[in-house]
Amino acid sequence: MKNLFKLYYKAKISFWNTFSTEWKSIKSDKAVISTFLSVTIIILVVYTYIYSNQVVKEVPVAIVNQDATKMSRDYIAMLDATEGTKAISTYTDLQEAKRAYYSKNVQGIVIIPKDFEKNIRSGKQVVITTFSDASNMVFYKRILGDVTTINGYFSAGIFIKKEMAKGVSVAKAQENYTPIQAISTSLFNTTAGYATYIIPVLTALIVQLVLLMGIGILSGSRRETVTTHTNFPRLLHKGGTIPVLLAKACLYTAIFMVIIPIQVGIVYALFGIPVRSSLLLMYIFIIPYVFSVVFLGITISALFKRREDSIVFLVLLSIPSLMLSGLSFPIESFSEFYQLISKIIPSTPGINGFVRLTQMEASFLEIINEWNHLWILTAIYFVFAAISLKIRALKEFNHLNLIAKKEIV
Amino acid sequence: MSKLKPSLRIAKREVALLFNSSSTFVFAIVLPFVSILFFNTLLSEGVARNLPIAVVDLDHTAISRNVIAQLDAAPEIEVNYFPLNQQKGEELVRLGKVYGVITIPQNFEADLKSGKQVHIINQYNSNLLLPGGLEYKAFRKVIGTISAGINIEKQRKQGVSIQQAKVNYQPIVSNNHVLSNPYTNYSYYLNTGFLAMFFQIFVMLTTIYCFGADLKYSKGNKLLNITEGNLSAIIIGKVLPYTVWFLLVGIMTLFSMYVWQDFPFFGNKLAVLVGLLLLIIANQSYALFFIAVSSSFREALTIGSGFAAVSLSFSGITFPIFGMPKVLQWLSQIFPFTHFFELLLDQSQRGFPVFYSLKPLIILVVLCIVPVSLGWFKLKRLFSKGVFNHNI
Repeated sequence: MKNLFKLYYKAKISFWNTFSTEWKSIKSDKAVISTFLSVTIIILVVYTYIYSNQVVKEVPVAIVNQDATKMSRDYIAMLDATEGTKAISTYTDLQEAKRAYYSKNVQGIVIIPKDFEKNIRSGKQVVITTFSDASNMVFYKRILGDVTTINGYFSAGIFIKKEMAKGVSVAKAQENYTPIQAISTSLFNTTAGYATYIIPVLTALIVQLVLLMGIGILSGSRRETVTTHTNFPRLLHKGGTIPVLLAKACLYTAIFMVIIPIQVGIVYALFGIPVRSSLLLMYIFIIPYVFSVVFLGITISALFKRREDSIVFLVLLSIPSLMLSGLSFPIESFSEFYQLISKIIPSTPGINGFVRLTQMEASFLEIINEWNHLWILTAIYFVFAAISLKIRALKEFNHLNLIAKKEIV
Repeated sequence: MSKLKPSLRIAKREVALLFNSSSTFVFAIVLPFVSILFFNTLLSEGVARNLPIAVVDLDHTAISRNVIAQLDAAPEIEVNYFPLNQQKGEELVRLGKVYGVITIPQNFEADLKSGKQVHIINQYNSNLLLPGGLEYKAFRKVIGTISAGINIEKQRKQGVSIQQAKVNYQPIVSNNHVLSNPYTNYSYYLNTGFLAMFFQIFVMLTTIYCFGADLKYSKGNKLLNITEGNLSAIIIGKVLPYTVWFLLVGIMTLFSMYVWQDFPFFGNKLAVLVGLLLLIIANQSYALFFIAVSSSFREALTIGSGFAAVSLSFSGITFPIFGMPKVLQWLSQIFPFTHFFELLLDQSQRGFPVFYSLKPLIILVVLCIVPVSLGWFKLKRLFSKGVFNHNI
């Protein structure tokens, strides 16, 4: 019993020592402070500002009107009135429109054929030809989507008018035209805004990026100065890594408990990005996320010899982890190998859970899978981090002893 | 020849250093190939298929089952769940198991047969832009087709021929030509951007590393001694081997896309190669500028990697430059990647005449010259001092 108490007491001391040592090294390291501030706040603001218009509006489209009748002008006016496209009908032929497309004055071309009105009036089908550039998916979707919608409306209008001419009421004619009406409602992010989509993803990704960078820089400088074991003396004792690791994870969790409200409260509010969960739930969710990332950071920092190395590797890691999270390209389309890889990166459940919590109004029970996943990763990386720290401390200790012995000799 | 000699010595030293320093070796030689392999294999599917959706069938009739079968047959989606009610379906969306819930109401068949208009409701997750959009499109297409079928059937009963019924239903059809990327393959779209962006990150980082590592450990003076105080000789000696090497890596990157993965390429190969060379030099020029203005190796690296990473968003691949706030539209012009990316797309997928790519080429040349000239005097001072102001 006495031993147990002694053990607890020592662990407690070591925990608080680590907590203060790590906090002091963060405070005194200009690089770490600037990384934390610049990435969590400035980068987030810059990205949000880039996407702050949310959707692309008024994509210029060249209209080649070969018909030049009232009906064709009505069609153009309808197309122009859509949110997504701006119809520019000053082009007389395809060649001219093509040149405008080459010089990027327009992003697509729509051709209204000759006899457009005449054929419609005589009950023949007319074909509108469109050219849209799919090398940029945003433009392509806008143009094609709007043309399809307008074609649908225009066709329906003609059909209904014909029915009405037969003596059918408007309502009945509408019902006749679409026996099955397709009603689509988007559950969240109703305007399909880009900022609303990407910023919560980035917020969660930034947690991983900043933590890995900060830990990498700190561990790199301790390696340069050979001070890992002197900073955390309990590392050399049996079981001594446990309080050290826990203290570090708790410290970083505490830091993010300050950063997250700033991000969500100020940046989100400023750019009108919705938040659909309470701060408490976010806190509960990020605990295992921060823990697992901290332990992962300690594990992989064994790879970095210099403090600069970590910055670079981690910048490179961020886009692959974003891709692997499955929120930009659906995860179902990745090969099994990459699906497996994505499961061992904390940001995959971290981003998914955070986005579902804040954007999709998920209750905590609905993201419990991600939460558990993060705890499992925490446990796994804890073991690796403990081994890595232990080896490092022992190595340094032996190294210094060797030097000391040489000096004595 | 004698003028080039000091540069040659520096270059030899640089190559020797490359094989001695593990970090530079990893950035310059290992990681470019890892990135080529990663992105090319990650998105090898390119087109998303069989996204899981849920259908709430409140009708349970032959027609409702037919609708479900037709939804399932659409290539984009796959009906995987049959929740009992809409609440359960929405829960599946929030759990991330499906991308949308389609509800077929009660009395669907009965109403349809008695000539009433019926509704089918699709609730989709547009928070995930790509799969949400695909689900929406597939749903509209399937229900539109079924609905058109019924409309045409009704007209035929009134004695209209099937051809005329089709025309009546759709007096206007569109013949859509999808240029550049006819299969709307996301691999063509994203890989071109990601691979080129990672490539330029490697160029940027390697350049900062090869100067920064010397300046961190106070080797600036030693270099000046070799070249007898000539800064341009140092720069040429240190940078040129990497310019040549990255040109080779860049060609391999392009090769992986346009030959191995068979992305469309309709443009001028020479223009792309010139653009590639200019992209490398422009990035090296920016790297020198960042070294000149930074007070430590770490700072130069942070700025450099940040600049190179952010250039993806400024290139307009994720969100078009056209849609950004005006200030950012101007800012996007200082990134060499923006111009290279435009050139690459114009000369590969879009197949524009070379004339229209002269503008990005000229801007790239300007971006090669300006940054290094701006930082020249600071760089000179830095080298004569031999070490960064700060060590952290």
